[in-house]
Amino acid sequence: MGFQFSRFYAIFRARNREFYRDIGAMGWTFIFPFLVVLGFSYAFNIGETGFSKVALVGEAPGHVKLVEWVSFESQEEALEKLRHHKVDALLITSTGGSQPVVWTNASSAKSQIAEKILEAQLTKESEPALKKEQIEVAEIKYVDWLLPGLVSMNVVWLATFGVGWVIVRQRKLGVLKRLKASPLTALEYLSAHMVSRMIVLVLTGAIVVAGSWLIYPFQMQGSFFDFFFVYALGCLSLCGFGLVIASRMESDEFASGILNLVTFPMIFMSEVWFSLEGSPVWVKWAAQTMPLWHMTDAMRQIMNEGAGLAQVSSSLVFLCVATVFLTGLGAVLFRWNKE
Amino acid sequence: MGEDLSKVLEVRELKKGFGKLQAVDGVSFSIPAGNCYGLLGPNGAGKSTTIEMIERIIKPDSGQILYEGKENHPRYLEELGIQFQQTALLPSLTVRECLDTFRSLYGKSRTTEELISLCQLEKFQENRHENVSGGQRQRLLLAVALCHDPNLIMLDEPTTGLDPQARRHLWEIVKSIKDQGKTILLTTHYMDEAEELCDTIGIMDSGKIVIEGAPRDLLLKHFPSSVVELSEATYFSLQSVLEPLVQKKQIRGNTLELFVENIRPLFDVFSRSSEDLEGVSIRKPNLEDLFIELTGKELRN
Repeated sequence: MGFQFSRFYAIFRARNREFYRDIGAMGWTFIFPFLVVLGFSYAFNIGETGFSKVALVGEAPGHVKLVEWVSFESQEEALEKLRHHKVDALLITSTGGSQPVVWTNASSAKSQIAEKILEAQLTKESEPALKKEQIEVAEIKYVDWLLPGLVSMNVVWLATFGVGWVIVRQRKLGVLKRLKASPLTALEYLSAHMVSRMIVLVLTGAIVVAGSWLIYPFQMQGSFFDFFFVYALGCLSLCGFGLVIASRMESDEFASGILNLVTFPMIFMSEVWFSLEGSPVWVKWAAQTMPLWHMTDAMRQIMNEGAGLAQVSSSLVFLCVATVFLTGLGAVLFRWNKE
Repeated sequence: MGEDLSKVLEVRELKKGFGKLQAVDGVSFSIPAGNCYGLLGPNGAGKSTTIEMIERIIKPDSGQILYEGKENHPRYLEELGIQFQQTALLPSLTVRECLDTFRSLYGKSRTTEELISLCQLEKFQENRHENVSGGQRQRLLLAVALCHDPNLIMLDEPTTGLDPQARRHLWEIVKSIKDQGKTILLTTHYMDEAEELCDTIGIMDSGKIVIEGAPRDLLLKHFPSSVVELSEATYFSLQSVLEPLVQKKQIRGNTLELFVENIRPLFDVFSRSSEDLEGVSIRKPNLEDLFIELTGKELRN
């Protein structure tokens, strides 16, 4: 039995109806991201306190209050992090015993604060004064930096639960058993769920981005098309992950537990909320094995730094491979019911 | 192997085990075109497992299932209509939308209007299927099973849990389907349902078919013509005159059942008796009597 569009479309339409008739779930899908945007913009407008993250090249200058050091081997590597807003300032202490140099971003208020903190604590009469250098990169507000992460985080749950948990629940209720006794193929059924969910995800993404802009106008340095291209690819790979989870499980409670077990670490390790700069190497390595990290990083580069698709090509390749692998694995493992 | 095309469905030596339990143990039967075959038996007899193997929901350990003489008929799923005992439809759809969705899954189909009329769904066709009553839901499931105008229809305990009126309502619909020449495989543990609808029955117990045949033939073969039900007290007071007339007797609950070939001498005994005969009743033997005779178990367990 080959792929028949009429069968695919019947399931696609039924799944759409199920989604938009569940007013509570649909409302939450669109309202939740705005609540997070509002919450975070409020929280960070109250006052950005806490530690400044400062890149360090050379020996640490002893204890400096309110500073978290992130060590680098070379000045070039550290300056790159400063340009990409991964750190607030750069201190170079290994310049042949001469003046320590502090690099800051002239356009960033956080960077200027970091400079004042360093100056106040490191400038002593017996030691040479700090030499100040500046780069000029447009400042990124935290909400500008956060938005791509927020969009990603929203997708994690919508994609994995929207595909994975829904299919497991249909299996548990006996819907899949009923469908198995018809000429419907697994490919038609699974692709209908994927496409239906992709439409919801793309719509949600567009509404969240547009709504966030109205609440808190952000700066899009790159192209909206590139941003949504990466977004859609990321959504596909996460839907594929949902398919793998849904392939055989019969218990929706167990599926929910597994999905949470995987998605929460994925969210924390994918720089959705905070930069991983300064984290152990294994954490960074683990993050880069996750589709969510690539999606968030590529969207952030496009939105905050004006990168094009060519500049985020490694993430695009990763997301393509993850999509094909996860969707294929989910389809191969799929069973309508326990036999 | 010769193909007998008059047999729409033929099952040969079907077996299925779950761990140490042999749920189906060598079941064989066949259904001629246009017949209704009833698989009867108590819960756990293996009826649903048998029917689910025929529906391709679960794989048999061994045995053959032939549709129109072929083991893997290319149009089998297109020709098969199924009403499951335990199932669910796609969530949040109306009754009409359910029918439209399932119609779209098949190459050929009856019109939605035809299905609504056939299964009498008019009054609740715009309701969500989750919100209809038990009887309405069973009629909807039957309509879903019929949406592609199948040749072979499987009804797995279609009236379980329904009130008597809803059951009779469903029976009428099944009879009208049968009148259209469709072949039906029905499982049930309601004996009256089997007697009403089935041309042939197979009684299952412990995974095997213990007896098979037309309901009337089986009853004639195994039982005398009448069953007299009366209290034990009444029986013992008339025991000396009743005993020579009774072929077999059995106790069911508080009632004694006497199986008799000729009812007239009993009338004479009762008419001459001065005993209180309140509670005495006469009925025909039924399939439940047959099942208990064969297996020693009650059917409604």
